[in-house]
Amino acid sequence: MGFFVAQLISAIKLGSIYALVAIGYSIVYSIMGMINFAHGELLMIATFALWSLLNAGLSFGLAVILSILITVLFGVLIERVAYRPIRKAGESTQIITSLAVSIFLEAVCQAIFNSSSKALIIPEFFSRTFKIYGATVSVIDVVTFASTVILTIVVVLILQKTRIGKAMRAVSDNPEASDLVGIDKNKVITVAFIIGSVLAAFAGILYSGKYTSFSNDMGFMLGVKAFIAAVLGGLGSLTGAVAGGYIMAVLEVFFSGYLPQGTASFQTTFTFLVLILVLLVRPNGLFGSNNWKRS
Amino acid sequence: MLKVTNLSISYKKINAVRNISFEVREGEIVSLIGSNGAGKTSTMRTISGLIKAKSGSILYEGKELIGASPAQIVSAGIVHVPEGRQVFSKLSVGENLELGGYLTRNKKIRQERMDYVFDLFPILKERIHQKAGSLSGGEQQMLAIGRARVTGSRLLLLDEPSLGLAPIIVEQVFEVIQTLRNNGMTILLVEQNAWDALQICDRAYIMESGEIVLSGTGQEVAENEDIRRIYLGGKETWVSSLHN
Ligand SMILES: Nc1ncnc2c1ncn2[C@@H]1O[C@H](COP(=O)(O)OP(=O)(O)O)[C@@H](O)[C@H]1O
Ligand SMILES: [Mg+2]
Repeated sequence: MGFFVAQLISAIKLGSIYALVAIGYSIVYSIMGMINFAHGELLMIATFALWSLLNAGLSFGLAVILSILITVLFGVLIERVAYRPIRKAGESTQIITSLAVSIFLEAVCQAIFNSSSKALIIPEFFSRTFKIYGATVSVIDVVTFASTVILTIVVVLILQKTRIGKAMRAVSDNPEASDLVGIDKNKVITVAFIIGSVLAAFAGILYSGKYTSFSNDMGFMLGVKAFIAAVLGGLGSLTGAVAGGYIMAVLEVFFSGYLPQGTASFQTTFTFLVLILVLLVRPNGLFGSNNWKRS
Repeated sequence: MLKVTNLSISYKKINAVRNISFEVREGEIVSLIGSNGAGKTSTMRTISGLIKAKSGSILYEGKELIGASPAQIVSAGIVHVPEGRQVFSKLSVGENLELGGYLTRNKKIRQERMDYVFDLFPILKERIHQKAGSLSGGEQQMLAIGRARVTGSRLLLLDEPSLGLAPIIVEQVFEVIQTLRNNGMTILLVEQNAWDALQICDRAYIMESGEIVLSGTGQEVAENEDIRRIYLGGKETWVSSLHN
């Protein structure tokens, strides 16, 4: 029982990180029809920003807020500088550009901070632990899960209730009709990157806060897995991104926990195998609409 | 109100529109008639800023629209209801209308315009919470026109509003066009359904292979021998019975 609960808790906290990152992929994709492979690097930027600010002596709260802002700045800048000029170019140009941005950011980070692994020192409060059904849970696990729930609700409320949120859904639904009612696509896309960046910043900080050590390649694998989670759920679907994130984490954690001795290191292989099977049956993902098309 | 002069539009190889000139005066219904591929849609899309002209001028109330963005053109007072009723299909009917008022920050004015649309199309009020994609073709066309009305624009560009609709719905659409005009809107109407369009319009332009080949009042054009042969051939008997 204790082991199972512990596994479940691991899956929930990892799934929360994936979900936060997957939402970013999904929102940008549904509005621009583009997969931003540099999205994962925003986690790295948030973490390195926080680490630097803490080293510079800022208080934890202030450093967190500033590093979220810095991440947003980078997210918006990436769109402005790298993606806007190629918005009308083909899909392959966009994919290659975003991969280039990803590699570039990682390399710059390495040049500035070198590639050694670093430790994020977070306030002692976050690592306090308590027991649930015999499993150890730390405060940051709870914070991780709660942040994901709250942020997801906020995103849903923005999309459903606000003027800009409705405009975002309109652009995703029918780009041309949204032009014709006077929606400024640049603004909508910028807001999509802001939302994605805030979520990525939370994900990066919570992830590094939990696992304490990090390096400049942290964003890559997390980004890839979250992207796959978004595809699993159905790229473009918010529900899909969240569900995909948690399903992905459950598979990964439980494969690693329950596979026979010696095969546990193949957890990722098994996870991806299941995902491939799911996508064979449902090519548009679990929550993706099967009539998804873009102009 | 709208003055198009020597407008040319081309896609990579095709010269879709060649040097056309026409105008729409305040309060008029003007129709642009022509067979498939004549360049009607390209003309509409250029006026609303969706595509760029190769050369020429489009003046709206004396201001040049060439180079303006679709949003600037909507703010200026021109709204385009494109071919194939482009509604936001995953959004509700209410949200679709609300987005028509995207540039109208004043909530009260937006609401007044929405109420006007609900008076015009009571069915939309009944379906306010339904997804636009679940409406029938005719209802979607009403929604597209209603959404355009909520922008508060004074010039409405309608591209083939009757396409693919049942005759009885087509008749309703043409009635709505007249109502909108009577309530102060100016309308540029593109139609293949030449007879109906000629019946309700003040003036008409006939387009062939990217050029305007004929213009005149609706009646003049309808009485032109070539036009009767090409566009109205054989239809007269049943259509006139419908409209008398
Ligand atoms: N996006 C496009 N790319 C290339 N050619 C186009 C495009 N849209 C229209 N055309 C061509 O331009 C000409 C005029 O088309 P269009 O304006 O749609 O005419 P209409 O609305 O009168 O049927 C046609 O020859 C058509 O094939
Ligand atoms: Mg057309």
